[in-house]
Amino acid sequence: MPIPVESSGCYMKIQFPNDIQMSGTSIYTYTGYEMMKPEQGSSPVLTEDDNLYTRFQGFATDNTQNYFIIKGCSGSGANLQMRVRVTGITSPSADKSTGLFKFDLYKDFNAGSYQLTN
Amino acid sequence: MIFRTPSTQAAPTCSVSPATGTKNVLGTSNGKIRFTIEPGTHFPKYGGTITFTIPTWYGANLIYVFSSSPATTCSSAQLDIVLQQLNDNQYTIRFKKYTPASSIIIECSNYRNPVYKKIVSGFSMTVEDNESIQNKIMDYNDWSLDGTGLDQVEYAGSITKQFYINDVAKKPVPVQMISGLEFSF
Repeated sequence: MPIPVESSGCYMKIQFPNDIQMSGTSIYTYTGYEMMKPEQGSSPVLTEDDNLYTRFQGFATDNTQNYFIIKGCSGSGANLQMRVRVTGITSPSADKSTGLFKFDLYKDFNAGSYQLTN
Repeated sequence: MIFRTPSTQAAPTCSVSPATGTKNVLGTSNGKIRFTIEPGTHFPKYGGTITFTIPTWYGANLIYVFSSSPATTCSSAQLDIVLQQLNDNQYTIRFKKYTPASSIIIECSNYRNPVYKKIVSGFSMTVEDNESIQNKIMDYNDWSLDGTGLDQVEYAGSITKQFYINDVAKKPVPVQMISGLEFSF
């Protein structure tokens, strides 16, 4: 990361392009490494696990939103990477370059309203 | 002999501004911080020492908001500064003359902006006179810098993406196939 990130918790929003549509029926998992590893519990984290959902991540199945919110920044140590592996993603329908991915990093997240702040 | 307790003025205000040609964004380490101080009537006209106590930059690491390399340096039109140095969480400025004014403005370079939008607390300041045994003249206790208005940082194209199938890196993947995707940065 070009700027320092605190290890006291953060939320990463991964916005997928429209040509990699997420589906409410797919089972997604993510595995976090280094700065994005779960604070506690197992890895990978399954989205259908309510307990892990509430502790480790918010998750959007709304096709119009098309994004994950994953809790991270729990690692300690210098120069850690932010690395996330997400499964259950359907590749595009043609051999082409996809639209743009967007990654946002916030300090705070309200799981009830999906509001990301700071 | 009359003993006096140090005078306490209204807390200074402080604001940050970007280095020339850059935006005022979160996480930068080359910003400029401006302290605006009400000197009152007791500020030592014939020189003295200002000691800033400064907060840490982020996390639990002992990295402070002022920098030793490249070095933070401070300047003021109202103070004739002769010496300044950073020692952990204390920044000392010695001045030989104060030109009275309604406010003293001290600008310091290489300031480290907060890494997310927040109020940065933990600043304080003392002022001592220039006697051989220095007397504390003023205390400016805890005050804060409002960093909630700083802009977010935007980067383009700095993330590695890699498709996975059955845990094996694959590029390109077949179309319309359930796969994994790894991001790292």
